[in-house]
Amino acid sequence: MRFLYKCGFAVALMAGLTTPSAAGEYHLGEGYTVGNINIAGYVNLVVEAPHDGKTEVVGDDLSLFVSGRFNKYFNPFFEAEVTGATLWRESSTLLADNNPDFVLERLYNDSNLTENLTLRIGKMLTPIGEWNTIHAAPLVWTTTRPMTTFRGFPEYTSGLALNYSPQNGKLPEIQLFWQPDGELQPKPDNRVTREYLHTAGIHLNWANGLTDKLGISLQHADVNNSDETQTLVGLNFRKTLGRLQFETEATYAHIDGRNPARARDDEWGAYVLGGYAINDKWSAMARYESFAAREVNQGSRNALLGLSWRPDPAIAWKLEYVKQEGARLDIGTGLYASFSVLF
Amino acid sequence: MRTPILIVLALALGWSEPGRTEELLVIANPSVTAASLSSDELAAIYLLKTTSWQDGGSIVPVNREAASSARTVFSDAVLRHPPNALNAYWNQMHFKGKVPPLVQESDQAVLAFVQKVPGAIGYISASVVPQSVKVLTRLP
Repeated sequence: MRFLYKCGFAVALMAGLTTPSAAGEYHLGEGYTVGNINIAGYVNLVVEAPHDGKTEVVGDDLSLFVSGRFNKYFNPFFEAEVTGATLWRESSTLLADNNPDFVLERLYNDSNLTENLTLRIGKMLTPIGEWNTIHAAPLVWTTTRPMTTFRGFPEYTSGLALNYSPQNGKLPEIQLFWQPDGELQPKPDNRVTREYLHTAGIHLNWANGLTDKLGISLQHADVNNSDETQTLVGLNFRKTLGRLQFETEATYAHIDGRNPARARDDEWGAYVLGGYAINDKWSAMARYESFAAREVNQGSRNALLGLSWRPDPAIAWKLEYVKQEGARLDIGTGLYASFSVLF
Repeated sequence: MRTPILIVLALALGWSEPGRTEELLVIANPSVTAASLSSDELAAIYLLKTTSWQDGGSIVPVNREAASSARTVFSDAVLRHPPNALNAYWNQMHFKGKVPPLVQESDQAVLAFVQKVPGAIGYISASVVPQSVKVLTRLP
């Protein structure tokens, strides 16, 4: 609870630094700007009906993010969310199993060393692949998140990052990131596969237009409470061809160090996703993913067919059917639906 | 006799010069030192790739609302991407911590904002008098 107070204090402090003359008019998805501060967030309501479990309605995320732009050196960003609020579960009463968690997603400051070079200090999303850095439900294609985009690496980096954004579009954006110790305010144990320490990595991204890109990631990390270290390489790619958008992410991690519970010395995953814009609002999507987790011998595969309806770019209704085979990890066979709003 | 009748008919039917596009003035707060901007430089600002002026001051870009004809003209002439793709891009950038251009819903609101806020840049119809702001370029 003390941490909540600290976060509230930080937001209040930032709000106190504003100059009200720069207020914008509110539009859904753009947040509210007052002076140098922008306040925004998103909400995601999910219905999960897996074949091997009970149907649930989950308030998956209620996220608030606040950013400030004050000068070259002081540009703070804060995001926190309430996640995993089970609002209703089959054969139970309303809110009976409701145990949401409070999660600090991001807390950092950006200092613009030059027009192209930014130093970020604090807790940030790890730039491995694309999905992890834009994981807000209204921004991604599907309700279920591919395991490839989070299961094999730390989602957060608490430390330093040096970000290079060239004006010349032919050069790659470069992000170098380093976490000297553990994670700041880590997620509760039940919400992460494992924790990492002493991480360092690099992400290169070649952007083409607004959405198309090619990214390469490399990261080294120690696994917390073990003798294990891992080295991960990743690839992400997106290409738009008229109404069709194709994207893929893949990671491969080699694990060193002794751990009797480990079934294999490497872990890898890849998904391919195709989205087709039927019109401005409706899209159909298909996805296939294969993931080989380090702790099980058997691989896990899932295939998805789905539809989404976006009456506004900030609002997404999604419905998808997932068929899963092999080891049951995070995604099971069943029907999933969600309603999300970026506000 | 026939010509005046045709003119009257044309006016009554709202006839206008075919292909005529609304002209815009790109305006900036008087504190901005830049004298002019190219279309590519403008695109870099509105796509959040350039975030500060040469003197180091923050750029505060202002957009019109999605339904406005001025935004359509500006997007076609400068940003060259469909509205949905731009909105999706700005939403992603917003989540990544870069605030999209602020929206003001009239020429007068854009003008007042740009007059008031240091580092602000926006666009207004060329028919509006650009009082107390710096005109950087004319579009299209």
